[in-house]
Amino acid sequence: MRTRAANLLLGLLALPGLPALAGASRAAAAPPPRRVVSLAPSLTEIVFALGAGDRLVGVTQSCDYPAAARGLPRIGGMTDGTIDLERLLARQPDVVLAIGEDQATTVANLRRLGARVEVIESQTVADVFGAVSRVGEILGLREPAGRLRRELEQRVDRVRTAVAGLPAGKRPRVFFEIWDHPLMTASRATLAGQLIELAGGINLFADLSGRYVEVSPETVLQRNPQVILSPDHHGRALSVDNLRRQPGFAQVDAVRHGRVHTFAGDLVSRPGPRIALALELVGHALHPDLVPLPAEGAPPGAARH
Amino acid sequence: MSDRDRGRRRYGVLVLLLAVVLLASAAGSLLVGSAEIPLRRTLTLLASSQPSLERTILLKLRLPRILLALVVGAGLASAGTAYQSLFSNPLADPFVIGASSGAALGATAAILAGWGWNGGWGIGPLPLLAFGGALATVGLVYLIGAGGSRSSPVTLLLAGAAVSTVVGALVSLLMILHDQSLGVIFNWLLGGLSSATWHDVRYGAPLVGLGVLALRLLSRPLDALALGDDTVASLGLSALGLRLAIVVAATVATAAAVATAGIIGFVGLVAPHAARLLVGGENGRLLPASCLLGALLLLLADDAARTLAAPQEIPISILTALVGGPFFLLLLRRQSRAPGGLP
Amino acid sequence: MTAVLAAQGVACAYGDREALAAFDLAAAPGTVTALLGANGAGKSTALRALARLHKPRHGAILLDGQDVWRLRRRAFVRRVAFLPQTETAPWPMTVEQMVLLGRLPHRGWLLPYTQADRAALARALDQVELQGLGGRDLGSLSGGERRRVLLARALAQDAAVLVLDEPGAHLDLRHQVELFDLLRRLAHQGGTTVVLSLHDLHLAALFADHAVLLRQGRVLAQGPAAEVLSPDLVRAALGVTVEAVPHPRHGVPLIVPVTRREADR
Repeated sequence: MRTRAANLLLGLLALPGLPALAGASRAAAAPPPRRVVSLAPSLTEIVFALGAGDRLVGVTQSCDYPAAARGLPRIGGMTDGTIDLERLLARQPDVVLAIGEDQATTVANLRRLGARVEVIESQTVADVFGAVSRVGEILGLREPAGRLRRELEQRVDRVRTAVAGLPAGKRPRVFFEIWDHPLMTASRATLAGQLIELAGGINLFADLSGRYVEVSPETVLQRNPQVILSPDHHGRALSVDNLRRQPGFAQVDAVRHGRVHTFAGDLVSRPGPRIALALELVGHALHPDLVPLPAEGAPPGAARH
Repeated sequence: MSDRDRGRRRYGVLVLLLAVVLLASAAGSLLVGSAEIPLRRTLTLLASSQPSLERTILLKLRLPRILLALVVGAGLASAGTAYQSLFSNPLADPFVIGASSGAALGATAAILAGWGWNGGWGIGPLPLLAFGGALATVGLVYLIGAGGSRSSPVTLLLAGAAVSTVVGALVSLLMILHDQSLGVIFNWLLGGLSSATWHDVRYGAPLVGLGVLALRLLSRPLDALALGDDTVASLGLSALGLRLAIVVAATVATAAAVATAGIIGFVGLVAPHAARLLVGGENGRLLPASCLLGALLLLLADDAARTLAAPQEIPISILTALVGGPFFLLLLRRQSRAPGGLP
Repeated sequence: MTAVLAAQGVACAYGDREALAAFDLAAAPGTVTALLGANGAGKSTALRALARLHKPRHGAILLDGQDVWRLRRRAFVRRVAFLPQTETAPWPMTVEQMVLLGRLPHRGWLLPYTQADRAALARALDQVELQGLGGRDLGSLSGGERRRVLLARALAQDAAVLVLDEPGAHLDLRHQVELFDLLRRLAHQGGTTVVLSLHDLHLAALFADHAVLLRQGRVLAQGPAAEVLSPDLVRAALGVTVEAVPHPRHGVPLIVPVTRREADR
């Protein structure tokens, strides 16, 4: 009799444990995916950063970092209409990692064809942390993901706190020039824009609503940026000397003090694991006294003019 | 006063009126821009010679921009007028034989190669490539469409359409394959005077001016060519030679306009029609009137481009289309009601 | 100012298609020569060859004994004016602007028109009875009036030779008669050489001095109009049965068709 009551009690106590048991068995039943296709360079970088680069069987044309990614089979571009579904499915992926933006149709089609697709939000700097965790969870690499996430969060936090107390007067006005003719800039809504703000700067065009917007030199002159940043695919056109030749620009603070910097284009536009490095580089450009140059130095492409 | 004298007097008054309106608008446009400089301050700045940021903005940014708008507007309108006459086609515009697609290809190549505007030497690679691309494409179209005994305006138009399609497809292909530069290329294609400086005026204005002047001199052949090759020959003119001269003049003006300001649509299409309503179809009168109207149209469109969504610059083609489209429809309504309008 | 326009053994072709062969003609000053024939017989081709618009495969076109293709085009058009059968409609133009184009052979395309040009314009408009309509828009005129404007343009050229392709087309009878009367006066009194084509055989009989009957690109007969306009020749050229009746007033032969109905009787 005591045995039966004891069994019943034990059974009742075990009830809460059942889902965990079931989950464990499910996890144990489904091995982590070994064949992964990535539909975004940022996700590719995350996978490599977690040490799972050897599991990638398909990446986009734009996936160029790290160097090992360049040798991987290509399955098209990053947007609907440029992704080759046939080739993608021919790689027989266990999971497809997508970012969602401009990929909705592809994602829907893939799911309809029976593929497993995981959509991972990546628009902001904060998204990167969540993305690292999610990719780690999907690939069964929770430990490495947790470590990477903590490292990134710490590095970002370090920069953020370094500039946190600065009053508005100490935050430089920053103009991010994407192209000169027509003159185009990145607003706060872009990744570059977020980096500028996190690094303790004020975007010269903080009042714009679009993302990549055409502006007139008049406005730039009037607002007098103290630092000018640009991506390196802007070409050789952006340098202090060239800027000085533009009417009125010789008087701009940024040009007078030579605070014109170029960064590798993908560094400041890719919400991936290198975002911390990007933030440190931008932070150092804006506040050299508060943010030291990152230990690993500048990767090829990030330079100062 | 005879009919003819009355006609001449009326034409003179009209042209004078247009010129005055144009000058007034140009002066007024000096006051328009994202940097607010009120009228009194503007006048003071212009009078004094003390350098200041505002003075720089007025004289080094706004003034060349206004002048470029006038020049490009006049150039596109002239080319459009000439082509409408040459091809006897009311829908012809300056880009009908491939200048725009060629310029787009040149500019896209320059943007992808990372060549900006001012390469340090006189003319930057981008406008040079755009200019060269336009000329080369029109040259190709001409070789295909005007060679041989079967040459006629129609074959030229067809060759233009075919080559434009192919070159345009190449541009699209380049854009898709390098979509990180998509935004930049797209904005260039839509045209804009936002970054205009004296540099652009110095190189663009003489070329456009040359083309416009040449077309004005060729106005009588333009009239005659509309009547058919037999008639032209019977009046002692070489249809082939004159057609070539007209295409060259119009293309130089168009290529220079596109190289400095991107591809601006509708001005070259609408200005000739509006001018025709005012002064009739004879090219000697039509071309100058068309130039003035084109310059005015582009000037006003540019004013809107830099104020409607300040500090954002709206690519100017959007505005010329938004204004030009309904205006064109209005013109159509007038045509269909009036008898004996267009042939 | 007179000139003789002649053709010797001229053959013309459009690509592979032969349109004219063994064409001989001598149009003397002060005469009206009419080219007659069915559609496609080669009338337009012959006129275009005479007007130096179509280069013959064989033979020569001579103006006062000179091969016209050796002359510079500008020199030729000062002496020979051409009126085409059809012309593409121009942009809205005034009558005056259109007729003044006829002065291009003299003025060239660059220089402005002079007093002499305006005088020629006035004369030409007078001759076609459109004086005072200089400022009118072409689009507001009737088909016949437009044709007369083109004729005025040809006249404004002050040329010694007029080559006209169906000048009477689209004109009502009165204007046709007036036009041919004008042409005959220009020839007989002014010494102009006139070569034209037409379908109306009655008008040909009344106004032409010389007639050329064409059939399938070859000359069937040519000579004085009264001789050429014989029932047999006309039937051979046009493929229709005809009879000739003398004009009650002027005596020239008027060709009238004979219908099947009457023939049955």
